[in-house]
Amino acid sequence: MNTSSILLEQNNDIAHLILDRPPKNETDSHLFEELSRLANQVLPKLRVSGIICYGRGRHFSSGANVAELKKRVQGPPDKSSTEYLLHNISAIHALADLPYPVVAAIGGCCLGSGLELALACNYRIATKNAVMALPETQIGLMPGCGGTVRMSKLVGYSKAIELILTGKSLLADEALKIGLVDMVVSRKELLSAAEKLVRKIRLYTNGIEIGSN
Amino acid sequence: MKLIYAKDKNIGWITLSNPPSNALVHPAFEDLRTLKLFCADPDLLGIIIKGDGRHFCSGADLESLEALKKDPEIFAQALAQGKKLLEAVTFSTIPVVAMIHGSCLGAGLEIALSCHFRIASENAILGFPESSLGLMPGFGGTVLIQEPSMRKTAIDLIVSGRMVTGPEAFLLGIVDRTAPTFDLQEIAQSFLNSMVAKHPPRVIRAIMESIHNARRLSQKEALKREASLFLDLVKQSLGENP
Repeated sequence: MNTSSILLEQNNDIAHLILDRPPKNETDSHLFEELSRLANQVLPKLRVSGIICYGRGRHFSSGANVAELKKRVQGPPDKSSTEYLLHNISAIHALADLPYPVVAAIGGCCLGSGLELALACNYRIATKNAVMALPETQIGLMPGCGGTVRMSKLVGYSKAIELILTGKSLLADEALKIGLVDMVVSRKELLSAAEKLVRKIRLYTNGIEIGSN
Repeated sequence: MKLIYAKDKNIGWITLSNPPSNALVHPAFEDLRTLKLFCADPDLLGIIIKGDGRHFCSGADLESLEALKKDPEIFAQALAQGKKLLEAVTFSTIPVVAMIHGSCLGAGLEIALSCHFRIASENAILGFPESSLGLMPGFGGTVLIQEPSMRKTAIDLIVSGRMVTGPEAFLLGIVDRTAPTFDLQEIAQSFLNSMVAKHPPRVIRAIMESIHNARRLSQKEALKREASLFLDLVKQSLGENP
């Protein structure tokens, strides 16, 4: 049985990109493979007003599967682990190049490469209890899917340094204050607020292609 | 004004020294290589900059300024050299914290703004008094101040020349933390350590470099380099022991 890690569903003029490996919705190799296919081959061709991206269940995503990552890297010293990682990284960046608004709807935990996925979106809406962090330094790593660059642009260089070096968790209200998220809503309103934002942007941009994030 | 360097375990200390005000007598107040070498010291995880004595730095020494101004070309060159020093601080690949006490004015504030973080004591006084002398901040201050605070704050402070206390500077976003005067050093150290103490230098330096790239390279190039820095860390931190 090989169910997808990501679902793409259409809801009228808005597509839903759903991370579908609850409860954690980890960004493991399956998810990255599917994300890469979707982001490079399917999503650019979609005729939609925009996309909302969220996790199935309580959480957006807990981030990478570290055990799996270690296994990949500690395998035979060939180029394949480098290629694997670069492939995953470019899947996230491909999300940032889509020609319509992409809004991340964040509930629960949104950590590490999960947060980097949300950062690649044009906007982020979070629930009141959402928790966000880039904790890669805890395992001697750094955000590699755009986290250092995109976080800096959103919250400023100093705040980005602090957040990434400490790996600390941010609650929704502080995330809003510093510009990491654009709106905080109740869990009930999360998806509808995200769709509303997509339509609003679409209305204002009147079909003009949005540039790369 | 000269720089005094010290190391306390993994934390580097740079003291701005021309007591009591630590005023700058010349914009190029240090040899660039010396400063860069200190920032690149492989033992260091972070740096704190402070003033010698009661004050952080009250800015340019006015008499010296008068003398320099007489030759605009030399003055321009001196400023350019000085700004390279501030740039070296900003692009240091370990975090630099300005520990601000007493006066932090004009070029002193510009030095503080070139740091990644600012911690100010309650008795700190910050501002850009240049306008009241018919001048403007010439050390990058007009640009630097817009990062942490809002543009209206920047315009207000620069045009009015008014001074703010440490706590007010915190409210305006110019400093990141305030501290009671007696606790300033402890708070600055623990703030810096909370960011760096647990990490090997290579992790800190990779992250800092990537964040710097976000401001000095194109988005595309910065992302490319981030991936490359990340791959290096993966090999070093997760790979088999070399």
